[in-house]
Amino acid sequence: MPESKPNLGLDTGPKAPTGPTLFLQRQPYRRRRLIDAARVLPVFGSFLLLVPALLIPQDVEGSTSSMWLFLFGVWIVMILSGSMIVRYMVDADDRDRKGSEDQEAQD
Amino acid sequence: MPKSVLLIEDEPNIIEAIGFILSRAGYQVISHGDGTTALDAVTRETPDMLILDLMLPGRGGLDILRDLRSASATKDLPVMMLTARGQKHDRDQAEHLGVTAFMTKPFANQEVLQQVQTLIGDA
Amino acid sequence: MQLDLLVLISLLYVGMLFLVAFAAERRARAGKTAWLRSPLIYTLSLSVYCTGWTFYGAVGFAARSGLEYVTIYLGPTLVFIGWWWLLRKLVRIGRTQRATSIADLLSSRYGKSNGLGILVTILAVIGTTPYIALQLQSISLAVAVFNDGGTGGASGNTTAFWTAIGLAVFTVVFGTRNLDVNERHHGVVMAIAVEAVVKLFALLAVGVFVVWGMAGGIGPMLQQIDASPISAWKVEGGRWIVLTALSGMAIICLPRMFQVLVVENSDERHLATASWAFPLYLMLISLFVIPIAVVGLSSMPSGANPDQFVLTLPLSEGQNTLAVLAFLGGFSAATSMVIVASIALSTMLSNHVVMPIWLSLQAGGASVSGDVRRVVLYSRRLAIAAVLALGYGYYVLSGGSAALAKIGLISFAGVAQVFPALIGGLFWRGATRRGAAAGLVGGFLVWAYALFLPSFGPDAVFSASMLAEGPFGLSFMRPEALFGLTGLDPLVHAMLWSMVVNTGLFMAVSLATFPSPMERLQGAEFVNVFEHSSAPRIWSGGAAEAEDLLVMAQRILGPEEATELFTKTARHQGKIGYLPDPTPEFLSELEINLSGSVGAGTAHAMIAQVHGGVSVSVADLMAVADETAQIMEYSTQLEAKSDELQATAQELWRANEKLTQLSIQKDAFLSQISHELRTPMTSIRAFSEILLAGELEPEARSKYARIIQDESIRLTRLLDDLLDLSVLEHGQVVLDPQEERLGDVLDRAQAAASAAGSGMQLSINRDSKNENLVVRTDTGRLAQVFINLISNAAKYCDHANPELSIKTRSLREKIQIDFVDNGSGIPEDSHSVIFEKFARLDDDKAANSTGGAGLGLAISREIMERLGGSISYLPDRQGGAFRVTMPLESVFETA
Repeated sequence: MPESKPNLGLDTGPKAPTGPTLFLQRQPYRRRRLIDAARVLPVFGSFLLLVPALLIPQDVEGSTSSMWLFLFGVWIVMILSGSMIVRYMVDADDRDRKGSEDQEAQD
Repeated sequence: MPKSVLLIEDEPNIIEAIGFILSRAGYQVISHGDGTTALDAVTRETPDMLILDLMLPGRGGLDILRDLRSASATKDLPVMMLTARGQKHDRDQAEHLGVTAFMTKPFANQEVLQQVQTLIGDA
Repeated sequence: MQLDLLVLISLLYVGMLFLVAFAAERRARAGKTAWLRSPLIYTLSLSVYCTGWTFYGAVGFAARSGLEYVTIYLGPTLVFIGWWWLLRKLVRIGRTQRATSIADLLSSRYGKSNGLGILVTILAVIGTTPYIALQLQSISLAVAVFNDGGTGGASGNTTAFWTAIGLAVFTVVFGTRNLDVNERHHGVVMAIAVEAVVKLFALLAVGVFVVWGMAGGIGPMLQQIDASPISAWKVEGGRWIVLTALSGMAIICLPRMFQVLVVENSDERHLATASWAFPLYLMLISLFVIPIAVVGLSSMPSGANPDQFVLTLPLSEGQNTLAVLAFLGGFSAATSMVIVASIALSTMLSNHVVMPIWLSLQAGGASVSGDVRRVVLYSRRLAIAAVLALGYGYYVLSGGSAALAKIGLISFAGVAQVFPALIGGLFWRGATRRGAAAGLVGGFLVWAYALFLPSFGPDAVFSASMLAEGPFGLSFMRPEALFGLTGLDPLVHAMLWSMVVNTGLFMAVSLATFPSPMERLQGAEFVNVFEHSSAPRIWSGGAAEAEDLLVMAQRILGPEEATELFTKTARHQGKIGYLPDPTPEFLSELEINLSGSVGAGTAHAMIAQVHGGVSVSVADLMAVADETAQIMEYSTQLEAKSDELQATAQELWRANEKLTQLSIQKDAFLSQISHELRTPMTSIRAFSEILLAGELEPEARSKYARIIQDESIRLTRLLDDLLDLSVLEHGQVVLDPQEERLGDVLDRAQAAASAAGSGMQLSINRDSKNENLVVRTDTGRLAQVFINLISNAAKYCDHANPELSIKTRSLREKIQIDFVDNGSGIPEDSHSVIFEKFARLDDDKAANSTGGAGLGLAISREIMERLGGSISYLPDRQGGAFRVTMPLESVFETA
């Protein structure tokens, strides 16, 4: 996550490519998709967690235990997905950083 | 032929005095008052010895001495230097250049005569 | 269960917390912060969200409203899972702006407005005080459970009081130990992390005991849930969504959450870990709430308080150890909340209320930084005590009522009023200070009117009739049914209206008002924090807005010059108006322009401020600009000084050179003196001896006697000259001013020179009509100069027919007398020395015969200086030429 690494902005550092690049390298591409996933995850989660509120009619008899299982199931899936996204992000970030360090050696 | 002494000095009264002292002792005294042409005078007069003033118009006595010592004809010529400047380094320099004798003004007449006799013998 | 034992265990536990905090502080001071500041500790510290209310109350909540309690955890979960959207930005801004509290962040975003800071502080105090009371209540209730089976009573106040005292001490000790620039409290965070582990472990332990020890496993547990009265619960869509949203807002806006989430954050990357680890914590802590509630409802006698099931269930089963563990869990939950909340509130109170007041009272005395630090520390300590006193007072006044239990959500709703201003500030550059303030006040008033005040019950604050019919019978103003919106849950109703009013006012006022330059810069800084803080070294256009750049440039370059530069560039870019696109070229050009005024480093920092890079607040920038101006002024002074120094050094060098010269001259002078004295003495001595020896003719004798006489005279004159010169040089000469015609002086001099130089062939031309001037000076001395000049010409003029022309000119107050002969003059390389002592030229043979010691011109120069004039050699004439310049009337010191 270079975007989130503390950057004081004024000192030295690898020069960023100027101008837009249409086709990103593999690593930055992967990173961007991971960010997409991180953005989408809470949207999906909200949808799933608010489903009970929005869709279940008041008079339908429901099982509290199944609801309990559903809620915690969604919860656990969200946590797992979130942790995986973060892990891949950190990995991609590390590779990214490494890659930019020895750009010459790559490809 | 009496022995000759070339006196290179620019003070007329001193020339007069030394001339009187030495000539009365039998020496032939030739005087020359200009530093620049002193060497020519030495060549021309071929004296038995030289009395050289340190401060001369045109060329200093030390320079003349240096030239005398570097020329083969005059390198052994007895040279007695006279100076009115009482400074030690003048004497050191003169000795370094190979002066034969060194005297400071004012001098005792007898001393000058004795020095000349020591250097070139009686006239 | 002995109460004494419980108190002892509690005290031991508190003692352990103190030790943990001390150890952490010690490690931190030793610089070993790696472990103290790990993602794990960060995540655990976030658990201050789970308070005593959560620990005990969640079970009660579940017993009353089924699964609805989950929303309190789902909101934060969604916010954390969606960290990339909001938290990341919040933490980055908080860190780059060095926000000390949420009040500080908002005040900073809206142009460093302290008014807004005070507003948020008041709001936070009002919203948090009941919550602190709630924590005290939860502890005293828990103690009461052990004491007398949960009926409570008078002992509750005592417990709450001593708890409050203990918490105040702990918070003062570790929360205001020192003033950290980053407002980080290692000891506190560490203690809270430990408490987080304890409360989670306690709740999980009780849960495991309930599910496997009492219900008989997961399968039977699920059956028991469905059979329980809790299953009668139905999802209320409105409440579900509102509660989820509310808790989501609260996790950001609660002062204590901002403290641990942003202020205590040491590394942004910890947030990535917390994004899933904190939801995991929340999930775990809420996992067994339903089972505990279900089992509690079925196994405890009816009428037992479900809020205490976590304690009463193990107690009723004889599991005293588990009960004590549960008690410690609840104690941890309550105390950690109070500690962090009071730190957060005390920071706000001291930074936004106490300090501004103190500083305004000081009237300029705040320049002593040590003073201010002490005041800050004391004000924080006082504020902590005050916050806890407020909480305790609220607890006592509310009587530990059931109303207090509801206060958790009401408190959430109160602090959530900050949310629109915060989100607007983070994502919308158009948000203004007035808008934020209007929204905050509006939303807060609605919250107070529709939710907080009615929560005390009928006839407490609002009368029953007012609640039922509205104030003065205005039914649309009924607190819990504003504008006829009836039938809603009071919380949903209040949230709906307060958010509508809050957001509506915030937007409308923001759109209608115009932000100050400071607000605009800060707005850009906040909204574009990522562009700002991770921008490449080369300025790439887009993020920086031309307007902001113009505002900044005007302050540094001056309005005209800045506008001209911008207009020119805009025209160059083919744009109409005065705002060019912030292209890299333009930014670089601007930077160069700015660096001309403030230096390159500052200019870069300034562009970075608007465009990207380090966050420097506008106030900092202005300070930098001022400082730079001062430095520039100072450096100009320095430059002047250094020029001066250089001049002085040069003068010193010259003086030194002169001294060296003088030293050489002195040596030369001494040997000259020696020479000049010895030469005549040589003649005198030689001829004296000759005369003494006798045997001389009479004419020779008289000749030699004359030589002796001449040389004696020469010697005397030399000594006279030396004495004369010495007197002149040392200023001891007494001048004798007289009025005399210049011609007469020259006549006298000519006569004297002729008399001295017997046989002088020099012919002298004078223009007597110009000499008809009367001078008032020491004419004797003037004549001496003239004599010297005439006799010099007589001695040294080498022409066959030597001539000297003396020309006099009068120029206003001055007279010039030129002595020009027709000889060859003085060689050029001797010009500079002729006025020095003994500067007899080498070839001046004549000098010896005539007895000049080479002091004449030196004496003449001294005399002319005394007379207020000068003598100089004129090098551009044919022969030797001297010019005497003198005033008509010499002014002497009347010594």
